Amino acid sequence: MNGDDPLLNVLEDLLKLDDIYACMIARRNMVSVIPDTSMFNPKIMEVWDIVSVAMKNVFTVIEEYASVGLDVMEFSLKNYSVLFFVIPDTDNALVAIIPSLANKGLIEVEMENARREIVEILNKKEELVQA
Amino acid sequence: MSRDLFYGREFIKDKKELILERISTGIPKLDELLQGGIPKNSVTLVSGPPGSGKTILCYHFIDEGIKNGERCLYISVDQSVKSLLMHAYSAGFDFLPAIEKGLLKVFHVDVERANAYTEIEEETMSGSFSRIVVDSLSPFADTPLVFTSDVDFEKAPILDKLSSYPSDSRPVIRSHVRRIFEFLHEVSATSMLTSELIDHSNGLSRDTVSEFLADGVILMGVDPMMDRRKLTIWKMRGTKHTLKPQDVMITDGGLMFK
Repeated sequence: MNGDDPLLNVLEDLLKLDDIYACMIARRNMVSVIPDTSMFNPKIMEVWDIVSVAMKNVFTVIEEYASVGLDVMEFSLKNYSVLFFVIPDTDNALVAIIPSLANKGLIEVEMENARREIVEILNKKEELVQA
Repeated sequence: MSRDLFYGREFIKDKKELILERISTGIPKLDELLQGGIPKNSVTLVSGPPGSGKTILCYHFIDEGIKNGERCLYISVDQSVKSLLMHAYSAGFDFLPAIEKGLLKVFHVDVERANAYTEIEEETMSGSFSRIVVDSLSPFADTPLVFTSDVDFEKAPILDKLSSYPSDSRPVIRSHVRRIFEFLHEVSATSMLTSELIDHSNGLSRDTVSEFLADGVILMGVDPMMDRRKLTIWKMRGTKHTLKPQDVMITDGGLMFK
């Protein structure tokens, strides 16, 4: 666990779920927060390149519609699904790569909880800056 | 007696000459990622959006040179000398003593002036500098080419033709940028140039040309919402390096790796 980085802690907790193969907080041109990639499931390597490119395209859409309330996006590629949970009031999203056949209901609950934690951490940071 | 080895057009007296000498960037962790530093006499492009830490990286590079007693040149295009020194001081770098000792020359160039290139060329050639920074390259890409009466005749027909292009056209930008790279490759100094990167740009520099001309590219990134800055070594000739973006912070002592 990375004690001094609460955002990283949230991601590392998500990665403990068997069906979350990889996760990160990203925006169009930048992966802002990412756990040690050695913690990712090696299976994703076969789709990593194409997923990276596809992510860029999805973030173009997120940028366009985040301000009007775009909440969640998902695309499936080969045997994997990529979930984007948009962080409110930002162009960033919590991204997770999962197997297509995973129990999405459970994962979506965990992703939603993680997103709320992230928002809470960001709000706390903002309060500290304002103080 | 060593036998001359013939490679292309150059004679190499000793195979040791083939080994790249490296110089420190002034940031130990970055040196470590670069197998000891950036190659001597190379030109490195530091590219990124405003506020990502490009200029501070250049301060480290110059500061390291000063500490080693090397002569350094800082060509400021965006800021006046006073403003640059103030900014450097607030970032933890006091360059005044080095200027007084003659180790550092800070030079402001006005790109609007017709002789901007000549000024840069003269400065870089004049002082036998070990380290040179040009901060930043971007205004050159926005400035139309200006020709004086002493234009090189061999180049005149091409340049005349280019002058009819708008300043943001690719051939004109290429000409601007290539000329600066030519100066820097001619002198036996290690150089760093900065370039503003517009958010969501597809290239690695404002002009989308200099990344191909540079020996190395260090890409800086910033995510204001997540309060993160990243440094990525995108390219460094003759160097095995990670492509993984590294988390960096701007502190009172300059740029620090997390």
